[in-house]
Amino acid sequence: MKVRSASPAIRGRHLGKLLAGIAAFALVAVMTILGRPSVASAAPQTTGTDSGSYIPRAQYLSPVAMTLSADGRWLYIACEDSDLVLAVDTRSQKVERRVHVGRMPRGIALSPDGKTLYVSNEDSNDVTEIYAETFQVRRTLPAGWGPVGLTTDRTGNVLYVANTLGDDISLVDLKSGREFKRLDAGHYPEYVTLSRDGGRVYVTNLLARVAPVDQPPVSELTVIDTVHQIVAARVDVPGVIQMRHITELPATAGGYLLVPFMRPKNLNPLVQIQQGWYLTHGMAVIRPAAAADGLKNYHVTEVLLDDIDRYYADGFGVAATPDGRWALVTASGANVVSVVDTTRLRHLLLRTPPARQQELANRLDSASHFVVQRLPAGRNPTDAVTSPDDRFAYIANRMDDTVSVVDMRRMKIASTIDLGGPKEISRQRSGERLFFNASHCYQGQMACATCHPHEGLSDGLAWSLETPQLGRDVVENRTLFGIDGTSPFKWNGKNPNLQTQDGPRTAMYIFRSQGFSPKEVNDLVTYIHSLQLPRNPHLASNGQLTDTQARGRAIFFRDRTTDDRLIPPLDRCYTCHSPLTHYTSRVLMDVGTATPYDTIRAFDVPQLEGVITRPPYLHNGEALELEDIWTIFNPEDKHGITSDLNKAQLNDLIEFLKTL
Amino acid sequence: MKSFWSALVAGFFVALCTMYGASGATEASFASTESVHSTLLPAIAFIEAPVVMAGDLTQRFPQGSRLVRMTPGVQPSSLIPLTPEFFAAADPQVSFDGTRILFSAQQTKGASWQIWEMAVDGSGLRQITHCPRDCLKPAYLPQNQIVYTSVRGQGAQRASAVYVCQENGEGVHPITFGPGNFQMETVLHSGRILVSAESPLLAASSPRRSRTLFTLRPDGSGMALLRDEATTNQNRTGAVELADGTILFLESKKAAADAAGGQLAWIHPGTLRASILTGPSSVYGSAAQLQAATLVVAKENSARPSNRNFNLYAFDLAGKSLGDVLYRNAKASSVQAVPLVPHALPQIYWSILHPTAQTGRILCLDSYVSKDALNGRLAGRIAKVRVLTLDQPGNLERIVGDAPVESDGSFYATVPADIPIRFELMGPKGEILHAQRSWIWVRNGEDRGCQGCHDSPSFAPANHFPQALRRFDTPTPLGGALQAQHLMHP
Repeated sequence: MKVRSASPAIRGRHLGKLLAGIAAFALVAVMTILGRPSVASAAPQTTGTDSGSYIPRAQYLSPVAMTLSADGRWLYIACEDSDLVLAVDTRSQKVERRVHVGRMPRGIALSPDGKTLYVSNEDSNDVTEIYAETFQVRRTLPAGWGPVGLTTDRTGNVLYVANTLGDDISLVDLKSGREFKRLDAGHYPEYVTLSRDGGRVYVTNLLARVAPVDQPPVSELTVIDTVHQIVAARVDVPGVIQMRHITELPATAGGYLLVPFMRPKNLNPLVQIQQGWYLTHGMAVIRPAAAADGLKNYHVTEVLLDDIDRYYADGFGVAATPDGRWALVTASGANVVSVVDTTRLRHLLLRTPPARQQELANRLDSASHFVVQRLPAGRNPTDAVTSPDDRFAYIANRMDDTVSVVDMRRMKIASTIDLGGPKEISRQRSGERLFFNASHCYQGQMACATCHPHEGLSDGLAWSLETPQLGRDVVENRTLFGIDGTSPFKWNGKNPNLQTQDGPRTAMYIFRSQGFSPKEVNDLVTYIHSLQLPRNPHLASNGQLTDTQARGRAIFFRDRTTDDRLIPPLDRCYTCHSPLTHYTSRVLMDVGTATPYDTIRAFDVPQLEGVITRPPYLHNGEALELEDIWTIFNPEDKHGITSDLNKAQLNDLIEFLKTL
Repeated sequence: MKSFWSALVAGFFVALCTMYGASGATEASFASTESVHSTLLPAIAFIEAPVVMAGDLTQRFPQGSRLVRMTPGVQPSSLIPLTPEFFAAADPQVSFDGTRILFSAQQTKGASWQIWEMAVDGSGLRQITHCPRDCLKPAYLPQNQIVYTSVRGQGAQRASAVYVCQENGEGVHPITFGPGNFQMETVLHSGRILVSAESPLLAASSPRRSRTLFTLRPDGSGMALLRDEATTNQNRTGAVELADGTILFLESKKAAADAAGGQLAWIHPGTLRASILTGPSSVYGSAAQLQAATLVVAKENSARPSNRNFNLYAFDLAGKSLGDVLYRNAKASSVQAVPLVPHALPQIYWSILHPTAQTGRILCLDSYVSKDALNGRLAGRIAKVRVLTLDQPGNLERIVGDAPVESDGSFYATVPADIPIRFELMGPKGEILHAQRSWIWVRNGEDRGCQGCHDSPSFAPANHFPQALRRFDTPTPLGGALQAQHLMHP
């Protein structure tokens, strides 16, 4: 294993070698002096941060999910940053009730009888059940890892919960309050809706299936048969990621499912930004299968919501008026709500010959045919709901703590409801606003959140970002969760801090526009440093490892092979992935994973905390699973000595890594 | 907050109106003037000239012209001349903070046109450019730069190009490098520059050729058609961008040499095609956004060339209808009106060119893609692409070199920077399958991408890793630093 310095200031080969040697020596010395972490602690306290002092997250509300009572009187709002659910009287447009729920509420659903609210708590991995009338918590229901979207079936007996980090869907019996089944979803399932006929639950998945990085992404719409409570279909939605909310138009309006998405162009080198070379934003129009064909045949058409010269970044919420005449799609990065005339949309689909329907996915002049209004919303509009009488729509503005009220007859924003969040904007909140705002990019094409969805996640794609070597150095996107203290940044380690990463270089080479001011960069960095890893259910609350995990841990910290040969220090897992520094050594390492398409051989050692949540792996995303790292991409033991490990031992190692 | 800004802007207008109305430096040298409008509108600056001609930019005002300032709704006596020391003035542009005016002017008849700047009250006049020939049609850029049109040469050699310099006149450099007689139109909110040029961009220029709109970055890279519709017998100029991103311009069926104006037309951000706002019998000489839903336009009062005269009107965008007259002078034309108000600073574009590079690179994703072909794809097998350049003077075409085209239609080549180039797609036997007509360029260190050899701006590319990038011998070096003796005749 070869070690190289990450310092961008150092260019001389000899100096680099010298520093590499010093770094390696220092790593080994530190490990020797400080010893290994205690057996009981799987995730020892790490040291060192890039951000300095910790800035607590202010209690902003951040409304992110809404539902309306059947009569349209009450608007129920889940506020992810305050752990609150609010009830707004739509007549007075005032917050009348509030109730504390679990940590980070992200989804909300109403029972068919309108008496019970269900709120998913992503960070506490459960669902809060609330009496809608009294706004009192009735009980807490179980869910999987990172619950977001949820719905009941038509009977109100079963709750379907999309567990975004667990890649599955919990089915909860609402009589017993117990989870009785869990179904595999796609990758990062987030939003859920019940079909109008009650026969299906549709689940969108935020990220594409993990697949070879040289292929366009394919995302999944997971369809659950509510009668048999099985997955009836896994619908391919090709070329897209970040499918968000779903709405189903009534049969009179074509019966389509509408799902906002982003179409990445990660395989193209980023030569230019205009004309959709980076990415575009649009909407899947999915015609559901008839029940007679076993719910399996879905017809997917993709249309763009962007214009030729102006983009509507990060589609998020979608809602149709009950008559199906209009659909509203929020562009969370553009602070805009696009109003879709569904009749015109349907006509466009019908008059486009089947052979040319695929073209619609890349046509930037289509939206002008069916988008009739671009309404200005507040900051970071997320969820959208429509009133039962077709008169109003409500838009949750996450970064404003407000709700925009749309008068659907006049097609205008009629009013804005202040939900009462703090009026003082902290640096962190300012940075969070910037993170979601695409206005700093050319034509408003993308925000930070565009490629780091779910508030900082990696989009799971490998991008061809670097010039001047077009088509070279394709690298996997990286997470922003828990990166404080893991500098340098980028796979080539060229950015010593986030200020460098997010400053002028981002403006010049990514946004191709003005970018952020120095103050804005600092605010943004403050926000990014605040992003914490999600709670990890693979590790027991007392930190005690299972037998399997403990065996895996022993492998991770071993210094002798299975046949008792001494493993050189630089070939041990824990040397480069040091638990003292977030399981990274913060230097560049050549572990034999470079391909002929890479112009460098050594890459920044990634931190391992939260590693299970972010496949694929290695700098270019070639390893689709953790095991591939050792069984496929480490043939000469350059990436630590692993060739002596059998399948069972690798499984143990993986089980340990899941706990990080 | 919104109401605060509205009040602030309104107050600014009122202050301007009061200030100008109270000024004693008024003049009404042109008789038979009329100013009518009761609504509070911002002050405007415009060009008043006895005669307005079509064609050559330097010959638009053969009997002279003056830049004046006026507040709509105030009597004609409030007309304030701003350029009494010049024979002719033209092309006023207002700084982003609303305090200065950039314009082109001719000090004496027959003198060269230069770019000048003054405060909106006429004070602080200073010359910015010292061009060897004529410099006109300027616009402000962010970061204390300006962009303008330079006209040089005589007869068949007469040509125009677009240049950028600092606001102090230093650092002059061209940003257009090919034939087509590029002229500055406006700076877009996105930071791009909108220019007009003859279409197609041929070596043999002609004032009778169609003129259409192109965009490019402030460093001259990324030049492309604004839209791809055919512009045969169309003349598009006088373009401005409205607050919603719509491009408004004058369109005439006449060639540039004959069109002193045209119908009002616009292209919305999401539409591929332009649409006409006004009837065929009306001729407009200029347009600019006055308020959110109102333009100030110069409309011709008569179709008879002998009595050609433009007057200023309000124009209602929602109703697409002509409103009140803002200023009328029976003996002179009033054109090129601009509101004297602050306006949004365009996005700054950070150039990523390499000043010392001699070459740029072209990456074509799929050379089979062509909007000219049936079903959008060229037939036949494309084996290679030939790059040609123009040898100046004489417009002699020379071959820069050939690069292989992969089976997926991609190619990747290095070409000399800052010279006109065009492409020919060739079959396996060297036959020309498709030839580009227009001359384009690649800037030094630019990575220029194209989806196909004639792609439409309405299409985003497919998500596909081009085969040309899988090779280790690309980019194919063509022309090197372009030593003329190394080039071959076709």
